[in-house]
Amino acid sequence: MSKYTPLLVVIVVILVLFLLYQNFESVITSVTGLWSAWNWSWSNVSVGAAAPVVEDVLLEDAPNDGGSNVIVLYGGSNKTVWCNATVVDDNGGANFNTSWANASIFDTDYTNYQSCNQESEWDNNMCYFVPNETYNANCTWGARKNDTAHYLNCTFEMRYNANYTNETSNLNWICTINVTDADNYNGSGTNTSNVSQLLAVAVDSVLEFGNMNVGDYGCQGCTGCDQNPDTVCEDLNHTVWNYGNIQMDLALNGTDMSGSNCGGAGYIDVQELHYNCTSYTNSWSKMSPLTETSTSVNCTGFDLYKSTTPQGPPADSTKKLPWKLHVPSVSGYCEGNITFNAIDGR
Amino acid sequence: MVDISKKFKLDNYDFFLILIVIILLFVIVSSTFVSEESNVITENIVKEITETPTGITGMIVKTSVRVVP
Repeated sequence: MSKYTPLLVVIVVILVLFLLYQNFESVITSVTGLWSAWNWSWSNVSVGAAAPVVEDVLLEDAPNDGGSNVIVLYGGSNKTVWCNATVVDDNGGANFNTSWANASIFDTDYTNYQSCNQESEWDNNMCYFVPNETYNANCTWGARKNDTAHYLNCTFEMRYNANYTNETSNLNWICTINVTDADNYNGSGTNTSNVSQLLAVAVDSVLEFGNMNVGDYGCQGCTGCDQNPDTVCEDLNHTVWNYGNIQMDLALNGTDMSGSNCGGAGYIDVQELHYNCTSYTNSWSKMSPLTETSTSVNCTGFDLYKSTTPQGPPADSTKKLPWKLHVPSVSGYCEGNITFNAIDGR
Repeated sequence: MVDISKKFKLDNYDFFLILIVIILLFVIVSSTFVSEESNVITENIVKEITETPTGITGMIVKTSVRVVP
């Protein structure tokens, strides 16, 4: 014992406590990796054949728009979704089988989820599987974390019509990653995320009633229409697209139709524009008047379903919204605006 | 050559403690290197992403009529 002994004992105790405060297990794993990286032969430990373990699985979108464990889809296009993991094999780096891995993501309402393990079962709504040559999706082995652990990244291109997480039925999405090693031992891991509801709409860019006479009800080319508001005749149909993953209704409002070339009274009141959210070929008087911008009215019952196309780009989900116009005492060319807002239609 | 043990009056027990201190420092430093490696991987993934709009929830459409005499 010397005068330095108490000081050294204190230092040792402090360092040990510091190590215990940190994640002791990860520290030991890291050191093991460094030994191997520097090819130091410190000791020989015989480890029996061990199955690979898939750890830290994380299912999330990129960019991560919704935060942890929330996937926010893009209207009318795809969203890249990652399912990443760390694969640990106690038999060491040589035992990894980095030529093989697969992964699937499926929603928990998918009753046949056990079949979501092959390319043919791909379903935009509820089941994605990689590797998939058709959709250029795959799992990629990333950098080595240490001698016994490897990063694994699997990517999916999730369609905009993928099922959303339903709070009432606890529907959510599960990612399962499967790996194997050189000894043919298998390992798998899972993680769960939510897919958010997506409202996305597109409509025809213009709504042109064409050439009409004062006193007309309908539109140019609306067969059967005349100057009687109660005459049942054809509509001017305006196409609406649902580019989201929930059933959609509309909220509508507009402006008076006017302009420098709009003579006579100088404007057409917004309420002369009529529409119907639930049926077609009605008389102008049986349709709903459009309201001005400050008083938007919900077009409930429009019920435009999401696209349900299972494979390939989702087919457009569209519906026609019927319109008619009454022309009061004006002349020339009159124009205005109509605002279409997508709202939850369930 | 300077004999450290005589200069500082260290015995075998002290050398053993010094060895433990060195090993513990090595463990702590090496764990720091590995955690920095993880951060680099995360940064690479972030650089690969691109931003696109999540969707359009409202559209304004022009409506018009030409009133003929």
